[in-house]
Amino acid sequence: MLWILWPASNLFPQEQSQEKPKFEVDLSEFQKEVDKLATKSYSLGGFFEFQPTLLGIDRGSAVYHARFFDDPQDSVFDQYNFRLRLEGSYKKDWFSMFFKTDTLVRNDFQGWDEDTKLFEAYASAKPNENLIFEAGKKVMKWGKGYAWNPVSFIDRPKNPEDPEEALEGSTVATADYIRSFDGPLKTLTLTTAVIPVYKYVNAKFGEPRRTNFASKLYFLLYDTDLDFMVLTGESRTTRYGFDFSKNLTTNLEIHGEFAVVNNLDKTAINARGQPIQSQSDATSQLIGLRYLTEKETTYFLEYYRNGGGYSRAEIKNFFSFVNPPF
Amino acid sequence: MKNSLTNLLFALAVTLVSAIPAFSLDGTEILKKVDANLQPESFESYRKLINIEPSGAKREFLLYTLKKGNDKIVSLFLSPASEKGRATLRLGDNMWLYIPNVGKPVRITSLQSVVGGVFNNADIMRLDYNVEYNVQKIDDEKSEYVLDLKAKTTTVAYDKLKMWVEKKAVVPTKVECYAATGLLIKTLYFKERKSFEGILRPSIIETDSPLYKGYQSILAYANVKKRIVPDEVFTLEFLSKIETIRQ
Repeated sequence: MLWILWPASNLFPQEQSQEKPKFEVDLSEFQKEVDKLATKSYSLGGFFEFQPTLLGIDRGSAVYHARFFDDPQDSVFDQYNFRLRLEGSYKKDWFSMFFKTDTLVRNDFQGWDEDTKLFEAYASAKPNENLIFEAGKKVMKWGKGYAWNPVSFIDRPKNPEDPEEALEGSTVATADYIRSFDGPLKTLTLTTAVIPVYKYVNAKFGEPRRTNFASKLYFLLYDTDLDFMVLTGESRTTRYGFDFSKNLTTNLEIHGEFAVVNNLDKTAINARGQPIQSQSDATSQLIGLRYLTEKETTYFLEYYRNGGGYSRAEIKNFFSFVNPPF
Repeated sequence: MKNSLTNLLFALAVTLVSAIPAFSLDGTEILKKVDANLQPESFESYRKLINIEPSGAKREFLLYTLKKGNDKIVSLFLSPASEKGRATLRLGDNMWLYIPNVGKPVRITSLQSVVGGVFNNADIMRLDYNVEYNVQKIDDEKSEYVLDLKAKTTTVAYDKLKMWVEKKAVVPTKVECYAATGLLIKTLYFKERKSFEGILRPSIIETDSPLYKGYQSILAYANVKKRIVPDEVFTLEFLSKIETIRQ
């Protein structure tokens, strides 16, 4: 029999000294809820989201001039986003499948726009506790940083204007070998991935009609997460990475990433707007801290050096080229 | 004379024998028994976490949990829909949170609370008490023992615990959790004993905190069953796949 005492303060004014009625849990109803969940081998769910947004444009900025030089805009414009996200899964013994779709309908000064993407769709097989094989479209989030991930060699780069973009996976085939131990080394995982690049498969990854290989070796050693990763192939230049994460105290965590990209192509412009091509090894580093206060507020602090980015002089050339005509 | 001496020795012996039980209590053994009676060493369970605000508003979460041995525990959120797929893993002093929309596990601390409310990660992903605490003192009070516990390391969430243990069932009825400064952080109340795997165990844990006046959180247990899974289930790589082994 269900018996719940609602706080009386919701209905009647109360003296401060009156004791608040306690909430009681109906264990039989809870058991029924669990019995329903325990038998399903499939799941389907999702959400619908409506997000109105007001955006401000800095009409004096170089980016505004470059983007809207022939289509001037007001300094403030509204945007309406309607998003439908669906996901489902099926499992039977050691085989399972998963999918996630995303449909975005947007209305702003550019009119109506609709975009439907298959974020993820892959099959997974776990023949035993040490092996996992997966194939399909899935995200592979490498790295320990929060704002930047120089070692995220496979996934799409983060886009501050569209954070959802990074949720779309790449088409890969992966194999994971997992081992657990007692002692200072608690876990070891080897992940290998094959990344094909063709016209309709990972088209934005790099040079098409190529097959690429990536690998990551993970250790949990002396309560520290350590990863070593490598990507090689002909769609992108070979690159190596390392990251780590460790709790220094119960409320302070430190993390970092280090990546070396061989023969990275870079295009910059000079002050006259002429493109300048260069190729060199690029080294990027990230170091960060995460701190939790007693009031449960979390602070992040990260320093990132992008070795493949533009130097001060190159950025100055860009702004010099864009700004004078205006 | 001889009789007087004999009587004196006898009286002394009786006094000592009646005093001995107070010193022969092994707090560590009682704590281990408490742990064994609270939950099997390796088990699975479903839990409902209810956070109640002073206004009466409540949020409910349904979790599936697997625990193995002294230091491995993983939990998967099954509802509400906004939390579904979220998972937490604990390996000894290490704790991680996996959020599907983030796509990778991130390190968290035991002091955080991934769902808000009075329970924090250390409460939801609790290891056995005898793994994290030493018994400093034990008092024998009629129908209960009162244990004073001290954390074994500085990485444990609470520096000290005061635990009231019912003698007959050897299960806790109340636990007060203190910081190193002596500040009372929260109190746990163990209630509603049910038979799980043939042992009467508390099926509800309630908590409140002087730091969050008016807030209350409740953890209810169901389907607590012994289950042993491979160690590899308790790894970062498996954290996004716990649903595939849920029974």
